[in-house]
Amino acid sequence: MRSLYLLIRTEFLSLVGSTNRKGKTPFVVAAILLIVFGLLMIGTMAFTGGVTAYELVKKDLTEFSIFVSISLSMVIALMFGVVNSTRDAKSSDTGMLLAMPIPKSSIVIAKLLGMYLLDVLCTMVMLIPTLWIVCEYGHQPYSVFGRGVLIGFLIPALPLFISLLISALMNFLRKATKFGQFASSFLSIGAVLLYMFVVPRMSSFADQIDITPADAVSKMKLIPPFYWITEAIYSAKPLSVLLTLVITLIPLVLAVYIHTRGLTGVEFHADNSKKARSYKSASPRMAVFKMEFRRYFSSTNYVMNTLFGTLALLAITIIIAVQGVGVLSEFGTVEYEGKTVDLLTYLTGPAWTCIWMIFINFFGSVTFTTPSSVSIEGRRIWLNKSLPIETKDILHSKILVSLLIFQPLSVVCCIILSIVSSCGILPCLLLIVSTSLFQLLTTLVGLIFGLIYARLDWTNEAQVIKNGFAVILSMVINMLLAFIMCIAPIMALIIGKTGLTYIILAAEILVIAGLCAGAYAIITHYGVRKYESLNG
Amino acid sequence: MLKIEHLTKTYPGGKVGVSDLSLEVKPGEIYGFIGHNGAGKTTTIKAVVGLHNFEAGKITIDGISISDDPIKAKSILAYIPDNPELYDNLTGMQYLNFVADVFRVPKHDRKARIETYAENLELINALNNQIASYSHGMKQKLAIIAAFLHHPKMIVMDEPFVGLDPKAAFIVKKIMREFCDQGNAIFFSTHVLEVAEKLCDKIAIIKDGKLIASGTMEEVKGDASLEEVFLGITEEAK
Repeated sequence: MRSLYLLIRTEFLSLVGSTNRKGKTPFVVAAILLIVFGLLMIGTMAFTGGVTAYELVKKDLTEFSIFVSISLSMVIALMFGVVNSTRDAKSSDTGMLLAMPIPKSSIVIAKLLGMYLLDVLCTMVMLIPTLWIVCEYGHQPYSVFGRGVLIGFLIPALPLFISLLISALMNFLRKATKFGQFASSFLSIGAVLLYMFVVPRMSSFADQIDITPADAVSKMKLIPPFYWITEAIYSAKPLSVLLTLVITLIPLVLAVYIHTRGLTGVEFHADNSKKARSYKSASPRMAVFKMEFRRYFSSTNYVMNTLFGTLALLAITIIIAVQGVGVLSEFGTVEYEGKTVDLLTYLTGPAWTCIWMIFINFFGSVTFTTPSSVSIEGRRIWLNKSLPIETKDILHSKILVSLLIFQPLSVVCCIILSIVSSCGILPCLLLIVSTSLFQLLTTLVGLIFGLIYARLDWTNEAQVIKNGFAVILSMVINMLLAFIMCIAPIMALIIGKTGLTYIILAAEILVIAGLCAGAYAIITHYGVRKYESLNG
Repeated sequence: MLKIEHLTKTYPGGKVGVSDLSLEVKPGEIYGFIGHNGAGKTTTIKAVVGLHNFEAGKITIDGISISDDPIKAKSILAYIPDNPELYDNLTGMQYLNFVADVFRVPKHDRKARIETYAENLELINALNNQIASYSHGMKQKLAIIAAFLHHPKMIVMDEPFVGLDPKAAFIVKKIMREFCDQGNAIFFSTHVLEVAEKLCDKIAIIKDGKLIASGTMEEVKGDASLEEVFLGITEEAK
């Protein structure tokens, strides 16, 4: 027990410490900030759960509200699980812990407990408001509340088991196949996107749903495990309780087994000795670019934190292309003198250019690799620096990789969105040029910050990809730039001067082109010198 | 082949890494560089290969200044660091192809060279595996293959035998000798005095950033063992 306590305490200290890298913030303040952040997230989830349940209870769908709450908490738990599962089960400290006089079971439980408690927390914050609303407004006995809380501790076993199963599969794929890293990155991003799309829509789904309690039961029966759990909470039928215990306890045991194997099992090593070796050649410049590109896609963490905007832009563009611009009507509808006015019908070509520009630049301002591309080299910086490669070529390759992950898709999205909104050729061209230049500017600014705030002594790449000062600063500056770019054209639109909007857009393009030239000059002079002075 | 003249390197904060160090490595020589931990060996080596800037002195490789024309100097140079941090998520083959591309090694030459060196160092079957799965010794072998791959004129090595198994160490020593017999040169640091004694044509001893002895093996140690001489000289210099 003592070793288990020590491990949990160490995990907590490490978590708080991760928010306080430079050690300048007092420990208590860092811990409080972490708790406040957690409470904000919990509050958002509890609010979503409560509103959804209230809407359903109002429509006499009391049992169905529990079912929805369980489903939603499972989705969230699974999302956290999948994101965690794409990382290697063996963290860097596992080997050290296994060599210490600590029972293996304590290490497994300490590691698993963190994941389990997070899932329990997610379940409870969704389930408790639901159960309270079911008892208070659905006029159910408070025994339903008690049963729900008890079963709430068992529910996370199912997503935990699934995420650990995915983790084992990903671990195998990463080591056995060439595309394991890609698969794991895309799975993580997919899970985050699923969360983003599912959770905010739940309360509006509950508001719009129009079914009878009998229909709700038949819908619930489509997913038997969730139905059994709902029945166990709602009516405590012995068979449902039994089935709930079976479908949660067995996965819990299996989860412990899988996690133990993942931590202490034999490492998988692929036998590639008989595979044909490739001796493909390329020019030195192309070799540097290919290396930068490969390095980018070989890191799940790197891809996860930089490709999100690209995928979100693609997903939203597809939705708009399929459903038409009418899908935006909830943002463009206003009440005026008692009438509902759909503003979208009044929009002209340049107006659409401004809207799509805001939309694409927003995703562009969070999708770049340059701020962390220098720091990510870490102690390996000797490789590039000791080879006969021009520093300019190294920096060009970083810029090119960053542009390639967003720019081609952005141009395609510009064309699709222009066609869908029928905005005309000139607005479409302005859109392509302005978003491309904006993306170039964000990439160049990111690289300048990446060079100024380079950090090569990291022990975990997440320190520079997620928490790097250069990344945060670049993101803030880029969002600010994106916002500033919108002000003038929107003002011109409001006063109804289409010609002026064109002039403003053209002027903005010229200003951004000038800023790009300035940023590029800084990189090729100051940036080169700065890179050459870096030592890992 | 390598000429270091009055090299001085001071770190930010005022710590002197190397002070007024001069030495020359001639074609065909294996030149050993020995000293305590923190004596300035790695600082000197990093300055030679262009990883560190320095405020005074001159370093030339085959007559080309590393400060004035780093690309040309690096193109005839290879470097093996003490702790080969390589791109973990690439395969050994991808890394070797990258190095071969940068040095413009033609396709047929790279195939022959990679196969020869990798077979000699028993790494051939692991080349398609990710570098992350390599042991320290395997990474060291890969860095050694990458160094010899483009047939440089000069190789600079920082503790090249750390992590190598006895057979690999023997092969590396053999390759080093053959390489220098072809008119090339090697400058390497080591803590293993027996290796330096047997392998080097010349040695230099550094202490607190200053060169305290240099010359042929006979000039530096005479009839005594290198270990005795090293301990004696470094004690005297206190």
